[in-house]
Amino acid sequence: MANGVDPALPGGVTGGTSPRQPAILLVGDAHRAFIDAEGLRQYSCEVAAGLLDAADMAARGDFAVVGVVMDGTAGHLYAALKALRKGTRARIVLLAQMHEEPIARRLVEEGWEGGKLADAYLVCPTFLMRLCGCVASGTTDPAAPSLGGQERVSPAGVLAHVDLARLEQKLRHLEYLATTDDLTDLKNRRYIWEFAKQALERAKVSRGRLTLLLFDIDNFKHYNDVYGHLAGDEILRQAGILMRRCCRPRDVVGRVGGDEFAVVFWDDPYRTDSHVERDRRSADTDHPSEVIFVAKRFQKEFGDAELPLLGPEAQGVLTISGGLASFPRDGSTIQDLFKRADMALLDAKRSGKNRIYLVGEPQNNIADMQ
Amino acid sequence: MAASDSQFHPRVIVVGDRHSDFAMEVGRLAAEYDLAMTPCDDIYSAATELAGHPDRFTMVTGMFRQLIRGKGDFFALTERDGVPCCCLLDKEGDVDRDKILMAVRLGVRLAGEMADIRQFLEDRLAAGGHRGPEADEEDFFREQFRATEDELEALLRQETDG
Repeated sequence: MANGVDPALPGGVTGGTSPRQPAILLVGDAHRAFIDAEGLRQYSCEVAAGLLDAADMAARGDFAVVGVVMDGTAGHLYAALKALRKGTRARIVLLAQMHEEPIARRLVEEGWEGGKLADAYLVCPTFLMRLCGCVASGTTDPAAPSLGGQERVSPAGVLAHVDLARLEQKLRHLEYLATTDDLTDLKNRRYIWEFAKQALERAKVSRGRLTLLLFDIDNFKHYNDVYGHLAGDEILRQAGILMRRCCRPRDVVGRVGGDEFAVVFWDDPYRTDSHVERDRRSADTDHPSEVIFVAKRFQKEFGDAELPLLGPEAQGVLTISGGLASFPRDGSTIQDLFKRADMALLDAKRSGKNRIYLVGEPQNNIADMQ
Repeated sequence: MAASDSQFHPRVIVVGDRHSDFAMEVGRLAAEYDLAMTPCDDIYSAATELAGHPDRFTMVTGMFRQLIRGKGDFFALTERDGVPCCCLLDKEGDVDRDKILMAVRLGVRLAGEMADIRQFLEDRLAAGGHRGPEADEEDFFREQFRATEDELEALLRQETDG
């Protein structure tokens, strides 16, 4: 139930006793979300222990922002966010662990069943000021409640708001630069590695699956040498675009080397529908069938791609080689999975290219699978 | 009736699939007793509804398996707000005895069939919207609650263990 004192915070954060109207509603464990969680005392803040309390408190209070710590809300998040959206005018900010970022991004950018369920997300652990920055940068409704709940904002307050908004924009840009490959706009190696590590830890806890696909473009050096580096860059960009198009929105695609790409396929812990449950039960015996489907589709689309920078003799002949390794069947650490997927990729190259090999399958080219 | 009156009109919130047989049946009962009906997809929507209209005479009903989601916190919420709540047990599904006991202790009325839901609505309307006697853990084992316990045991098809 709603807490007067948050047990997650040393000394507690008082809720409901302040004479000022609370402006922040935080759902979940503040310490998972914020490096400076103790700083919450400086804000007008209430803490809801769970999503149900949050729905109740948000509908009763006049909050500027509702920060939802995603971790630990598996299976209920979508329903609760729908209720929060209906019950409050506050900005809803998802506080996501790194492995939850694809889900958070989707909820913010695309929504769920026809509506955006959140206004922004932050990758945690982060600083409280960034939560405030999300409010400052997104407030367009003059009637919307502000942080601190003041009805009148002083000029100094307005300037502070503007500064926060600028700071938030700069931080987001820095995050983008630090995690993105500038040529393809895919995630970079650092991000892929850290994301896969976190997603794997989550998969171990939730008995989910994670599959890693490593692939590179066959004869890439040849295209570079014959058609020039601009054409080579275009091939890389097209590979990224096509793979993202073939994947599910939550899967993460990255460029991890010159012409080497990685895709992390993972179970969405926030979905509890029977399809996912059924697939999980077969996880110990087979590679996920949907991943194989995606890989086959990508092979075909990439092969059919027409790139104007390549001459007519090179149209429709692009191929890739890849290796596919799955948790739990092929390894229990991210190092294991990368190593085994890489070995499968090398096997595919040695066997004549234009194929994706599964780790440890007798008939291990996915083209041979139904 | 004028719109301004409607927000004070007694109502019943039905939690779960609004097209289910259960929701349809509650809809018929609501019409019979001149109650407004508010369908809510899940307990989170229901919590929002309740919080948004704290002064309105509201009753809540739904399938037990829907309302028990989230460790039964919804029942704690209805108890805190004094909102009468009645849920229908699913005879086909597995019933967790501890969860049912927890619900009863939080003042939730259990129904084995739709006739019990009808009785719940009648009782609460007759009581003028009051929640009725609280059934805390101590009360649960007192004489006047013995029938409830017997009913519960019958529903669970288990022998009383003492």
